[in-house]
This record gives sequence, structure tokens and C-alpha cells, in this order.
Amino acid sequence: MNRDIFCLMELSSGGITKGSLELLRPGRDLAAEYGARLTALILGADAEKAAIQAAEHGADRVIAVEHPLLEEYSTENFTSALCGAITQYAPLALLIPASPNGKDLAPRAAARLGLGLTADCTGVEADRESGLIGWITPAYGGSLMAVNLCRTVPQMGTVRPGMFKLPTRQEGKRAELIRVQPPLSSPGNSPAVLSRTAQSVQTVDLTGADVIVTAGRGVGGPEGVKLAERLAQTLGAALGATRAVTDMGWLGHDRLVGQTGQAVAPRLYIALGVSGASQHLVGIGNAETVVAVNRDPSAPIFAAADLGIVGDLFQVVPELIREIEQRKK
Amino acid sequence: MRILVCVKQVPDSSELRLDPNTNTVVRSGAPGVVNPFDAYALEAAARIKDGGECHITLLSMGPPQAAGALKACLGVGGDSAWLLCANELRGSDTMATAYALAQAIRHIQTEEGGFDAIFCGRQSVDGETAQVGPMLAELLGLPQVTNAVDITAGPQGFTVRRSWESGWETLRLPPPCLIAVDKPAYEPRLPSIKSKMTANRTQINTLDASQLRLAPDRVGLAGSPTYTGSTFPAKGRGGCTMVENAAALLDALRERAAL
Repeated sequence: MNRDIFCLMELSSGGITKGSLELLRPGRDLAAEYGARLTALILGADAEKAAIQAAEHGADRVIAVEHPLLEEYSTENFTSALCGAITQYAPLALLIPASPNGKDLAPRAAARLGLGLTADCTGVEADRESGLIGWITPAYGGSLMAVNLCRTVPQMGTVRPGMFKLPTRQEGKRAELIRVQPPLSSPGNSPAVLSRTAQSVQTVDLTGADVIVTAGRGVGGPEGVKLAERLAQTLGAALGATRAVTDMGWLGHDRLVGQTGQAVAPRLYIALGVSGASQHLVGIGNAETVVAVNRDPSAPIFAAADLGIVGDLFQVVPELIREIEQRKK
Repeated sequence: MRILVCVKQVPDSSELRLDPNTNTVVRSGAPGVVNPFDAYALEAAARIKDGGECHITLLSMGPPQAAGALKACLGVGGDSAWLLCANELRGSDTMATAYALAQAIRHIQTEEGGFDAIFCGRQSVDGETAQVGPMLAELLGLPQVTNAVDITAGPQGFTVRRSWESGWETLRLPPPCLIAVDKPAYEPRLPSIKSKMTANRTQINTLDASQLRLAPDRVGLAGSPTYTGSTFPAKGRGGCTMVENAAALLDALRERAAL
């Protein structure tokens, strides 16, 4: 048996996060490629239930690092626990979800152990040329993909949520479980949590939408957003937004598609006035058909689209709505 | 109060254009600007300075042109500026960059005195890794808060509002610490004519590899634990078919069974 492929499982109130369980899919492929064992690494106060969840999603082995101080995320305790597990079990690779806490933790741990780390991977696969693991990230505005390699072991990367389909759950599947209790103590200079508030707004889930109409900066304002909304209604589509639009407050952050928002996989994606920043494009890589409407023919969105119209939204979109309604009749 | 703000000069993304022949972003000739997240970090420091005595030190690593970004920052709150510029650093990944910055900060501390906090942007808009902040914090042995959207300084340390998975949390941490700043609710201030003139008169201190005794095996392409092995074109959509109008678009979508 070769060394392990480790996937770090993040816990939330509902068990292991989706972005973590997804890692078990590329993790499984890597394990097959290298003849390695797929190990789910869980850091938490009580990992009993999560261990079963990880096993049922394909882990060969579960290492549960348990301590009361791991109940809530804190940089120092999680770094210490993670580094302890890396040092003790010396895996070949470690995949970490690129969630806010995952991205707080991974670079801290990498720096502590002097390990290389690739950020926000959209793919992870064996690189035949080097024999190393290829950590794939968009480069140069998303037109190219870079295969990043790591000279240190374990080879490490954070992986964006939504890039892989959840592994099929095999009910009743069990895995070897190792429970470890790390020596932890909260250092005096750790940040103290004064308050925590969950976002009360109803969150919009775009990840399962079949058709999405997204408003970009080019919609120009609330009026343009309304137009996008009308098209969405006509198509029975969900309404998405780019960073520019949520930053302006034209639409809520819960509609953000892209790197810091949701990664989507609709059958049809219609981008209205979207320039096509790489942060946005990375969220629509799994869309089946992408349509772009933009005034600027050199906008990068066209390079990521299947069908495009160069023109004014305020002309094209009403025309499109009329045409769709006519054809419905 | 003494705060060091890390600043990176990045290409102005609004000026970036796609080369239709190669499908790559045309970077040459794109003017450099201060990384927006670093501008937010500086603004957070400047707001602390508005409320009381505070010295803001700026540090940038980059080519000689990065002095332009430092000058811009001197006009909106910065008091002194340091530019780490060395050929040895070319090709540095996030770990090598964090190491070089850590060495630079140690050096600046011997010249200027220690810092209560290091502020940096959550990520650069060109690299987008968000790794350098936490790595730097670790190398300097400082506690960290990432994704900060508001920072206030008080007798008990810094109070930081941070966005996390599903909401907000407010944290308090004592100095010295490192805070990585996300987009706050406010825009960075603009320079005045007077502050611009003062900035122009302010000398930028330069640092090189030998001054910082950078270990050759920890910087540059060769000293970086990660490197780019190869690149390949992004999953081809087989090119974009341009259509004239709404009717033609609907026809094309029908044909693809996308509607």
C-alpha cells in the first residue's frame, strides 16, 4: 500500500460540508492512480457521525482528530491539529476545501510545515509528465489552465466548491476509523470571538438551476436588472449576478456566480452585460451552453461562450422576450 | 500605534483586453494600479489614524515601477514606504513571497521599530490566491484574521468584523497581529493636492536580497515549493458563434436543444 491521499472534511451543523465531500471524488481518482488509500481527515469535537458520512461517500479510512477546542473553527487550534496529523501520517497529498475557513487554515499550515500549496483549484489529476499531482487553476483571465506542481510532500491544494459532483453515497459502507486526541491549548493571543451572526436573508441556491440569466455590470443599473429579471421569468430561469452587480447593491450577494459566489452547472447560461472576468468564468465552467450578450465585441465573455450577440441589451433583451413569447403561442 | 500595510502593484484589469488570436490576456502596456484589496487595507489603517496617533508604513515587493503604487499610497495615509526589489525574487510563489516579505518586515522593524499590526489585502486581483497573508502571519508568528471588513483599534486591541461561511463574526485580538482585509462597506479615500505633494517628496526606501539575507533556496522560481508545470487551453467551447439577433439566437438554441 502506497501513501495516502488525504481529503480534509470541514464540519458544519449539518455534518460534513458539500464542498468537502466533493473532494472524495478527485481523491478517489488520485488514490486509484497512485495505488494509494483514500483517507478522510476530520477535525472536530466529535467526529463520530461525520466518520460514517465520509465512509459512505467513499473514504477507505477516516482519521478523526478530536478535541473540545475543535468544536468551532479557530486558526491556531485547527492549524496545530492539521499539522500534527500531516506529520504523523505523512500522506502523499492533501486536498482542502477552498471555503473561507479552509483558505484561512491551509496557507497557515503550509507555511508552518514549509509545504507548497496551490490555491482554488478547479481540477486535480495525476500529471503524467512529472509523475506529480497536477493542481489545475485558471490562468491569464481564464483562457488558459495552468497545471501547478508541488515539490514538497504532501502535495497540497485548496479546491473550489462546486467543481466536482458529489460521490454517490453507498449506504452502510464502513471504513477503518482512527481516533486521535491532539494536545491543544488555546494560546493567549488568539482572536476571541465576541459575537457571531448568521445571515438572516433567504439564500438563493443557483447550483441546481436548469437555466440561469445573469446580470453583469453592463446592465447599467436597477432598470437593466429588471430587464434581466423579466427575461429570467419568461424562461423560467433563475437570476444570477456578477460581483460588480452585487457590489453596487443591484442584486443580493446570494445571487453571485463565480469564485466567491456559487459555481453553477445549468443547461443554459445567459450572460447579460457580463464582461467575463476570470473570477466569474470559473463559476460557469460546467454550464452546458453559454450565451453572451454584450456591447463590447472584445469582452472576454465571448471567448467563454457558445453563442454571442454583440449589441445593446435594451434592444436585444426585449426583442428576445417578445420572440420567446411569440414562439410559445 | 504603528501599522505596516502590504501593497502590491497589479495590472489595471479594466484595461485588460483579450488577444483574439491567442485567446490570452494582453498584459503588456496595461498600466499598474494598487491592488484594490490592498487599498482597502490601507484605508482601514488610515481610518485608525484618523482617530488617533498612528504611523503607517508601506511595503511592496515588485519591479522598480511598483514605486508608483507606493507613491499613490503615500498620498492616502502612508507615512513611510519600502520597496523590496530583487531579481532573485522573480518567479516566487506564495510561500517564497511570504518568506521575502517576512524578512523585509523583520528588517524594517530594526530600522523603524516594531508594529502593532500588519494589514494586507485579502488577495491580489492578479494572483487571487489569498495565501500570502496567512503564510506571512505564520512566518512572523502572529495571530491572524482573514476576510476582515471592518477594523477598529481600542485599548484591548483590534476589533475586527469578519465575513465567514454563513454570516458575520466579530473578533478581538491583541497586538501584534496580521489582518487580511476584504472589501469593506466604504471606498478608499482620494488624495488631496497637498497630500500628493507630500507623497512626491517622501523618499522610498529600497531593499534588496543581500540586505535581507534571503536564503537563495527559499526565493525565486527555484526556491518556490510550487511551480507551473504546463498550461493548456481552457476547456474549449468550440468557439463562440456570433448571431445577429434574438430570432437567430433562439434558432441556434433550438438546434442545440438548449431550450
